[in-house]
Amino acid sequence: MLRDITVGQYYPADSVLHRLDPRTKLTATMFFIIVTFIVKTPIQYALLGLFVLMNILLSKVPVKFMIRGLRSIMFILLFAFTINLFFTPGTPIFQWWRIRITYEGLRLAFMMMIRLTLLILGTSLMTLTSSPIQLTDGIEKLLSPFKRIGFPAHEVAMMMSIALRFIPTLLEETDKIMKAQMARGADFESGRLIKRAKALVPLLVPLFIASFKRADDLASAMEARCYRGGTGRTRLHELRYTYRDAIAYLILIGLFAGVFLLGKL
Amino acid sequence: MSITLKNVSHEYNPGTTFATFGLKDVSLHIENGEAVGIIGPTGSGKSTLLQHINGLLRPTSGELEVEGIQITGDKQNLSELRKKVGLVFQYPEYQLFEETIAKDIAFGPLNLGLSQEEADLRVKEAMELIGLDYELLKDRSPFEISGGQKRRVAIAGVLAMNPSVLMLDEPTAGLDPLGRSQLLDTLRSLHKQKNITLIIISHSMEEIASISSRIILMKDGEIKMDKPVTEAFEDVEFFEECGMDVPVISRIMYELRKAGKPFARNYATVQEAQEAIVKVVRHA
Repeated sequence: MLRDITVGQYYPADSVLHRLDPRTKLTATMFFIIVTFIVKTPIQYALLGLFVLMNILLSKVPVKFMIRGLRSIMFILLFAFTINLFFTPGTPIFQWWRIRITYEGLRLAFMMMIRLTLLILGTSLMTLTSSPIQLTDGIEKLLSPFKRIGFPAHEVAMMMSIALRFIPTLLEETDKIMKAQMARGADFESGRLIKRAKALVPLLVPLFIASFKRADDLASAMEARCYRGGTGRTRLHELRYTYRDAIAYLILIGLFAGVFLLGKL
Repeated sequence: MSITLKNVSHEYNPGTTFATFGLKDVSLHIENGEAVGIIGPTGSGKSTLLQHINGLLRPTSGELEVEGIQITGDKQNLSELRKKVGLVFQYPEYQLFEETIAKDIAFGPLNLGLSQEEADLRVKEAMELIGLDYELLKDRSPFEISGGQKRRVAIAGVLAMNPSVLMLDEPTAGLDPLGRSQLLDTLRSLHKQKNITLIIISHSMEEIASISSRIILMKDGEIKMDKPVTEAFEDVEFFEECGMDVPVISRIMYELRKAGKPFARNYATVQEAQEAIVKVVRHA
């Protein structure tokens, strides 16, 4: 189950998208999200779909891999589809007992599903093509103008990368402790809600203790290597915009203009 | 009562690009009351094997029968099995969670459905077996005692379930020398007194040679060697090939024999080697 979630997973490959500056990808994703919520007409959707398709092909991430990512949100998609299908007022095209499907509902349901699908595909492209480190670097750089008003950009980015770094460790640890307690006869699977919640105590207490200990160790290790926050810190990989990013921004402006113009038709 | 594996394989992440074999076609039979040492490089499938015998992992193919219980790939209730087979994980002190040591050790027995009184008895017995002072420690927090004692508490937590098979994954890792030898002594006497089947994973050849009567060498998910301890360390080159080493004393005996000294074999323990050397010297 956990393995099926491709949102937030990095797919290493050598593509144009992978080589883009993470700042470009972050900004582009933000604008992409906005655009998905302005599009209304089918032709606008077509343009947006074309844009996503182009990016998927450019990214060299296997289409199968992307579709597997969609599978984990299938439930949400179907839920949104059903709600829109049955509960939108308008001209009925089908009626049986209390169930009524309207023309508007059908249209809205389809549009909503396409919109959500595009949204997930577009945003997961960002995390699929940039490693967590690149992303946090990008976020730090994008937020650094706000340092002047006291926003701790470096610290936030550092916290994010540490958090991301320890997700797999924590999962592994959970698995290990769970097995150890199961070997002692613990039962995490059956029983009612309260019994199940209680059964989690032998899992959560050791996890918390280990996490605090690990945080402590990490802090010591960072101090031992003279970490003292962002000021005066240089980087191994300096983020630099190239001609590729300029082209990416141009394409993005093109998409905006296209959607705007098609909306005027 | 015994443990039998027939062509057991286990695949991690089957059907994905990350698929790897944890166990490959492993066949094995362990009799009741044996003391088996499992050695092998990291990632050779030792822990995977132990987890199968406890039913925490299910075989992807093959047959597995433990203490008369058939373990299949399907969901089944394994509480009977867990009652009979105790598994102590690596660094088991990380699984402690209760307010007091006695409560923590009672966790297993209570899960088995014993009454509080019975569980208390088991706790007392287990603490005595593992060498912890019941009266002194029972009401203390498991988080304020030393590392070696924590380890003992964790092992007592498994012993309190009164298993007929006890499996330990690197039980002495991270302990100081005194803690090591004490723990090994305890395990040895447990094995003798209660005739428990012992299965131990260790990276220390000396330890494994001193406690087990049979040695299994694993590599890449397969059993590469399965011999009684008296014969296990004969083929030093084979061990080196597998990226392992023999006990220091076996290596000394091996080198002595290569130099033409009249020793029958590479003894696995210092005691045996000492006796042999004394005999040879007297003879000369």
